[in-house]
Amino acid sequence: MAIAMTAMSVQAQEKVLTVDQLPQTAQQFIKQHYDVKSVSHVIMEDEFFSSKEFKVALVDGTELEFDSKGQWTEVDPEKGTVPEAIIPGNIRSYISKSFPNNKVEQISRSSRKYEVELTSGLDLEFDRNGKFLRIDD
Amino acid sequence: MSVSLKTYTNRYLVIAILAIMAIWALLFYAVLMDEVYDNIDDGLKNQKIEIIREAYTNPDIVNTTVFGINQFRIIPGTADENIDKNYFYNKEMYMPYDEEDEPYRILRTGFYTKEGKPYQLEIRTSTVEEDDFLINLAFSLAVLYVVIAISIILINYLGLTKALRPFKLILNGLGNYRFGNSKSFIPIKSQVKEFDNLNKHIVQMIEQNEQIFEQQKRFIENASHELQTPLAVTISKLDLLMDDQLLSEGPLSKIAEAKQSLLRMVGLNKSLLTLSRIDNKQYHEVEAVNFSELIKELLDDFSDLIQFRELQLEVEGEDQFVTNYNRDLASILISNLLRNAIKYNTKGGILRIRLQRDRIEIANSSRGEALNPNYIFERFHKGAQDSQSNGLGLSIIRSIVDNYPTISVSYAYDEDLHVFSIKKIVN
Repeated sequence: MAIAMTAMSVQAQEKVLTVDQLPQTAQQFIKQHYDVKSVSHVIMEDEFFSSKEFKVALVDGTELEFDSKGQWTEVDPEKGTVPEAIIPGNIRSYISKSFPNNKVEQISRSSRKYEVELTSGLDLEFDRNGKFLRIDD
Repeated sequence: MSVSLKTYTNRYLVIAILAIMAIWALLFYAVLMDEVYDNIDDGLKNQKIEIIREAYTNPDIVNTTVFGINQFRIIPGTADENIDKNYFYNKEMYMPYDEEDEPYRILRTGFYTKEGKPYQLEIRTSTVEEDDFLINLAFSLAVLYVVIAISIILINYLGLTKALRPFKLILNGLGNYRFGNSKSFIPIKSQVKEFDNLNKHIVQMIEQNEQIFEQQKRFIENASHELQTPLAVTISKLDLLMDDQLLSEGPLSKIAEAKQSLLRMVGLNKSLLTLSRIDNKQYHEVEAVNFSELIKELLDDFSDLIQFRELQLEVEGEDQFVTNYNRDLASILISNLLRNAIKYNTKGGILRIRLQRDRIEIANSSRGEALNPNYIFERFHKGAQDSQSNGLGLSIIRSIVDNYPTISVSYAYDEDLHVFSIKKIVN
């Protein structure tokens, strides 16, 4: 058991990076929607079975995640809402139509779908083109 | 204990059906119940979305704190990451329409308002209809189950009865089969392949058996025919030997004893030959035979023997017993009966003959007790050990009567006498 644990920990690496060490795309994203100076710390995760992940924490508590290429995978503001520009257009229009007065509190995406959490607490799922799939409950 | 095929298969069928149908019915009910509640839950979830939407355009709705006309209520809740998770449960609640508690299904969930305040949302719907539906469904399934089970059992029973009819006929046919008469098994055509095959095989088997039987009969006849010659030769050689004057008492008497044994063998062989010929129906010529006359003739032949044993001969009745029969066989029959009646009599015993138009009785007293009618006609059965008899006498009589059954011979023990009766068969 102990050997397995050490083996696992050897595989999963967590490295602290600086912002310049992030992929260019990720740096662009932060510059565009936030402030590079507000980055608190950057952690790179490299697990045995998945590809590299970058986790960026901002001073105000916002958490950003990027994949190995620097594309964003999750935006989770501690206070406030997700900047409109980040949200794909058809998702935005769907929300304003079906759930007026709701803002996006959190958004994440994978190669297959988008997951959005609204002010009301409802979780919505969209496909990778932004088409509404279902309410996640 | 063996039971009918119907019961046998029914047993397995019933168990299988009971088990399988029970499982199926339960599964079916479960699936349907699941579907019904899924539908209800979908309806509740839809209402949730609409209520939350409404809360964002019309915040007053948040003040609906009791289930009233709106089948929902909203009460302050606690902030939670999973505030929007759905939780369903059933509960009995008071329904004014029936004035009693009725079943409801409730969805409990939560949401945040525009301002970010957490609330708990409960939506309810009546499930009286659905519950009724499920009860009726359960009842119907039970009825269906019983009906199907009974139907299958009945159909199986009736179907097998019909299918087995030809089999019963075959069994009957086999019961009627008499060895030696290959035509006595009549195969009935059947639509069931297996029974047809069975018939075919039975007929084949019977034919084979009959063939072997025929061969054996011929063999016995030939064998006993062949035996006559060497026996005759041996006896004549012994005769020549006995004529030799040079032999003394000892060897002479031994040769005489040997000759006696050989004479017995000759008699046995002759009887076997007779039996074989009777079985082969070689005595099929018939004529009108007067048994009464025949008996009187044979009594004449036996008169010396009767006198020698000092028997009291009584002949009663003057009726003529006449029937169509083979004269030789009739002669063998009567003389065998008479010979027995004389041989097994006591010295000075009674020999009583009764002559009627359709019945002849030959009765004799004897040393022994009543005979067992089941055994006496068997070949080589002997009562009190008698080395002089060859045990075939009554057997020959039975063979005659079996092959030419226009008369019958039966035995009774009456007033201390062994009585053999010959009767005409009227048909």
